Amino acid sequence: MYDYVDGKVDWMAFGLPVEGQDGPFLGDQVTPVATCAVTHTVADARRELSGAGDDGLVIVQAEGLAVGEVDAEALEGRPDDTALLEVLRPVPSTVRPSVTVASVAEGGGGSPLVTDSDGRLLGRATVEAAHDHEGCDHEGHDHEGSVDLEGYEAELSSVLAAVEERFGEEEPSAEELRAFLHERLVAEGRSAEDADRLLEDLDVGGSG
Amino acid sequence: MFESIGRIRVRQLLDHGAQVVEVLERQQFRLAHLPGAVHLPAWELTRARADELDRDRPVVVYCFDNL
Repeated sequence: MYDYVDGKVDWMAFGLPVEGQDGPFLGDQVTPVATCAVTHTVADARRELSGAGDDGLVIVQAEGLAVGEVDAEALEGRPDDTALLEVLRPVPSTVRPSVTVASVAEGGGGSPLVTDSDGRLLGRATVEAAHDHEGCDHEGHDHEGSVDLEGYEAELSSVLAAVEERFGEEEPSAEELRAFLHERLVAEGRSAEDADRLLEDLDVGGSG
Repeated sequence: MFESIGRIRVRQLLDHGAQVVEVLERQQFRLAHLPGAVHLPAWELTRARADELDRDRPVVVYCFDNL
């Protein structure tokens, strides 16, 4: 038996493939970018840039750590032997490949550089802005992909109070609890099927 | 009994037919899991559920992170 101690977060942070419903992830659509070592000069960068198109160059340290970017404009008028360190634009914040495409789209889209957990450059992911740039979706997530904790805690408190009112100090069986919560969800306007699905997601007892 | 391993070793084991088990809650598993992982929540780790695994193949268990 083996214990993968760093778990799913580590796996996804390195852009490794996953299965499930939450994708696609930036790691699924990273494209390579042209790079140039930070120890090189403006002349080297011009050579690289001639084949790199409009995206410019990402300047990297040893081990592939992204430190900055340069484009044709940044090199204009600079002597050939100028160190790239003097002309690069510091790289903006990078994102992990485990970030969902949807969360970037809902945040306005863009072309962020994607790096693994150790800061090594994986490439660039271009994401168009979502048309519907609203705050929250129907599952209580805001546009950054974080859970609406306040809403969740309020709902949880309300449910716990209702359970206490119904059962008092008596501890309900799993089946009784499930039946009570099901009845409550239906009374709040959910369909019986929705209520079943929600209770199953929450692993409330008695669902098999 | 458990050997702690990292990502590279996990990939090697997967290449050699290891079984991967996610022990998180159902919703977490549905959202994203390692390729081919089976879902066996920590609170369901009974002998009967463990018997669903192939004893002749390595088993890699994982959670969310190392915290």
